[in-house]
Amino acid sequence: MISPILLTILIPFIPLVGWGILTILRNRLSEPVAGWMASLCVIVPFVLCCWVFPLIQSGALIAIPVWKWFQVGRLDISLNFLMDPLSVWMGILITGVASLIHIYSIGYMHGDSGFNRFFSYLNLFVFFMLFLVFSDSYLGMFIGWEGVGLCSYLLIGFWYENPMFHAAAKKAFLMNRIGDAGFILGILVLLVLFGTTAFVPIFTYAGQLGSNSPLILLITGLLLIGAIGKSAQFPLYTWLPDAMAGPTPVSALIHAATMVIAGIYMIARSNFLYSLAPLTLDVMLIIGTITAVLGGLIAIGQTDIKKVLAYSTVSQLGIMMIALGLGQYTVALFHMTTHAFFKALLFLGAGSVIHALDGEQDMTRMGGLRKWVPFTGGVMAIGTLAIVGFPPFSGFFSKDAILIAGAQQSWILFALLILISILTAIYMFKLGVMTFLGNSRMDSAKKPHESPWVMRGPLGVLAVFSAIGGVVNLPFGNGREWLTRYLRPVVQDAPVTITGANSHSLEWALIVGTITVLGVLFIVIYRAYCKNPLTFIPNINRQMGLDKVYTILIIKPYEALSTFLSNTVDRRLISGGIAQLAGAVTVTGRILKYTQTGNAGTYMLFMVAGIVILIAAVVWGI
Amino acid sequence: MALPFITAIVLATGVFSKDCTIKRVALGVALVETAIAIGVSYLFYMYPGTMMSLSYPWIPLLGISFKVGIDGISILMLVLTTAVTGICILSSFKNELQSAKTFYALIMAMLGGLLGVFMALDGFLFYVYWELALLPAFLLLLGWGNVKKPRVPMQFLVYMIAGSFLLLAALIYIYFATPMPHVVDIKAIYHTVLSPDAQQWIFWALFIGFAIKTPLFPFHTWQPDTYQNASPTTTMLVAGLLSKMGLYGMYRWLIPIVPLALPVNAPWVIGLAIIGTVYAYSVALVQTDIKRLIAYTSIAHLGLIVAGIMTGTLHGLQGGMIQILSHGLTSVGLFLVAAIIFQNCRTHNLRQLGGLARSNPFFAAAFLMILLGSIAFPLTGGFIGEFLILWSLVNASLVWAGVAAVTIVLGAWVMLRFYHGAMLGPSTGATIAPLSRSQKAALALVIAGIFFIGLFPNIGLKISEPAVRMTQELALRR
Repeated sequence: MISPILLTILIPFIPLVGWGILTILRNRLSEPVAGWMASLCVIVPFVLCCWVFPLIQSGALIAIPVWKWFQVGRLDISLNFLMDPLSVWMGILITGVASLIHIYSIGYMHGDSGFNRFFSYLNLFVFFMLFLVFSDSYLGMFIGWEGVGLCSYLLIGFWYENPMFHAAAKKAFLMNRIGDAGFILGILVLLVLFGTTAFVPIFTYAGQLGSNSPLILLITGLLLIGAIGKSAQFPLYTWLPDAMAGPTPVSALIHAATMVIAGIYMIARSNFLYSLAPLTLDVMLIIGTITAVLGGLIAIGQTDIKKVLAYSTVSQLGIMMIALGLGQYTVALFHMTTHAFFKALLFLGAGSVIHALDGEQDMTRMGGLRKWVPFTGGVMAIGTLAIVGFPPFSGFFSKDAILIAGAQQSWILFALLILISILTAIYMFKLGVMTFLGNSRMDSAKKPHESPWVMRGPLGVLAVFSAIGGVVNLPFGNGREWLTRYLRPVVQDAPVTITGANSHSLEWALIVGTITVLGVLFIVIYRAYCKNPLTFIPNINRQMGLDKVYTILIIKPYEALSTFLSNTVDRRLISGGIAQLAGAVTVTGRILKYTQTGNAGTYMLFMVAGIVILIAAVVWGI
Repeated sequence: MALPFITAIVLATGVFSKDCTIKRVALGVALVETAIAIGVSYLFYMYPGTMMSLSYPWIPLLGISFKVGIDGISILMLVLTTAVTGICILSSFKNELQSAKTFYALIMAMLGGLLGVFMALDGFLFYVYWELALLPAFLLLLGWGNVKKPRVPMQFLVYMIAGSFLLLAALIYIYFATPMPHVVDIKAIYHTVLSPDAQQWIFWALFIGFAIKTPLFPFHTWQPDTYQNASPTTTMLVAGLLSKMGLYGMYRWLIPIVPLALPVNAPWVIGLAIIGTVYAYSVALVQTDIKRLIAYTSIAHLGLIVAGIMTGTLHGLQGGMIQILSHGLTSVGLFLVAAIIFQNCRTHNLRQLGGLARSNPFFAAAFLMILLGSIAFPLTGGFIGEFLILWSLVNASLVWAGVAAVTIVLGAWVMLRFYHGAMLGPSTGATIAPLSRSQKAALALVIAGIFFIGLFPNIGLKISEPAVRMTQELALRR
């Protein structure tokens, strides 16, 4: 038997090899070869992850030294991989979804001049993402963290000829960097306190800092800034909708299923630290709620199919942040898992629609598509039912776990969560109705075509998981929450007080309530949008003015300050001031006078003479 | 070490008449020097803590000796100097130059001067080499720069002379402070304990002298003008190497000499350096001339290195060393990028550039990779350096570390503005022609260096650690 240690090391590096081959050979590989090879470089790690999965189940850890990075004094920074329930679960999720999206992209990107470049970036992304989740230390995580940010930047700006697109890429990179600055400071504080950035020793000794002590608040706060940037939380979420400029599979993989959950993962990973900082958890609760409500509201006002899904992602990430803020880390991870399935499905479905319509993304020019793309319509319906939380689709279980935890905290939060769910239903039903139902509003008599099988296959698989994905953490009864139990060695939730009979009655109430509310909502929205979808598009500003606020309050003043510093301070004050100072000194003044001659010999003479005089002065001084 | 000087004289006398022969000879000498430096550094890697020194009496009357030596800090500087000189010469292979023989003779002379600066162990010898390195730089600026602006080389000279005066004054004072017979041997200086008051003014004299050279805000204004108007190769050399003289001076001739003044002044200097970093990035953000933009980015990086050195901690000093190497490479790489852009588009103005990536994706990729080194992306040398420096700052003061962390964002903003402005966006019609083989090789070497330092920083850290530790111990004398 091959040592599992050896194989687990391979997991992240196989996609890196794929990237290397694609980069070196560039366009010498034909499309199918490049596409399938890149896909294989993700499928193999997926198989390996699944193979490691049962080995870890007993709660065992595998620590694998990878690389002694640097050493200063007593401090030794090594990069190691840690295979524990959390990282392996994340690994399966990432490689699984990424494999499907790779295969899908073979169809979607067909004919694009940058086909091979696209797959090389995707493989590089998977490498960094796996590096992020398998690292045993915050610093290792940071490498992956920045790496996925770079890949996201490259892929958002993939069609770089379009100025809007690369502006979006730049914005995403910079807003992420704001988070990264907080993250790296947090890492440094951990390093100074604990002398290491590895998880195990930090979590072991973190208790000594004391609950809600200034230091633990500082650390959790700084790490939270990182998560806010990466997971597109208020107030840094505005980059994510713009990031939709990238090809649709990128939106599905990076900006819905994997990269944006890195912040959620990081906080879930740090659950021992966050449980010591109830104050930070409360802040997260507030941020998550604002993000979720804002995202939901803005999504309703969108007519671009990808923008709806982008704001929906913002909103869902907000819900995950709420779960984290409640101390229900596994619940957040559960919702992250189901969300990865159904949001990837929805994005790829939207991609299929866009593909069918040759690039059309405006829903006001769609409608009645179920006739042309029935398969896509079907899987989108499953995705929609999953995201709105219709029982027994996967989203129902993950969202209701959050609702129950929220109800336990306060009724206001419970009400807000219900509101968020209703918003979700409104924008998703609207999307479905405007796209697939009603009459066609397409421009010409062109015939939309169903996507090829390489695209339909992944859609089908994702649809199955979106439908039944909830089984990994069924809430009924004690001890059946499989995912929670699996993750327990590394992720410990705050205790839930609602148990037993209470839990059961609440669960049933939620099922009945959800079906009723969703049914009513669907009928209302169908009536409103089926016949004439343009009657009611709520005029909700894309960013709720947040971008404008940033521009007016931060960017413009800062640029003005920079101009002032450059023109006035640097040129006049410092440069001018020093010139004046120099002019006052006679020797210097005399040299300056001779500059007018423009004769190199004179300058040299002065310089050499200076040295000679100085040496002479020394000799004379003795 | 004498080889560059000999080459300089040989080249200047005009033994070789053909330009391409001159270039090949210069490159060959630089390569030989690099090979020697790397060979010696391998020795330092295998046997950490090695020291080598040579000493001959020079002016015995004054106690001045020709004393040179290499330790872990010096050898890294020597590797950087020789390698960067080689890369600069390589990148200039296809440039048309007037009187190539003088040009390359001056480069060789500058290389010799720099090697001397990084090896001198006698105060006056250090000073002489310091001037020997400056003189060719000045002539390179004067003869091959922008002829329309003769003010610029003069400004450079005035600044440099002002810095040298401070340096010399401090050295002379120290000279007289050593016990009879007076010497300025570095060992004797280290053993001399100056009074706190004397240390105080010597600290500032030396610090300002080095700060002008580095340059550090607010002594930096010569630098953007100089870089903007110098010929491409000169800019690369001055940015990559000359700026390191001041930093090296801080390691060897500042903090070990004035241990009592350091803790008193360090908080001020660190504050100044970090403010300077933020300031330089802010100014860089609105520059339209790409060479000025890189110049200010460079000032920002150097400011952070000074902050790291002034913490006097092992991490700060070691981070500074790595960042010196990394900055040497990235600044040379960025100026090479600017030179290639200028060569193809005949402009440095960001507003007149755009959409270049499409015409030469290879160049765009190379640019992006150098950019990653500049913005301290993990796995590049810049990250290791900045990480260690930030760490030393967190230890020193969390507030300053927080301000320094802001530069992570600012740096990315500045560089992406540059990249997007030049490489992406609407095309102005200008294109980048396929690069020559020498340019490709130079870019590849720079990129390989940046990632090599980022992936295997331990090699450099191991070489310099014993020497840095000694510097730190001297700086901690009370």
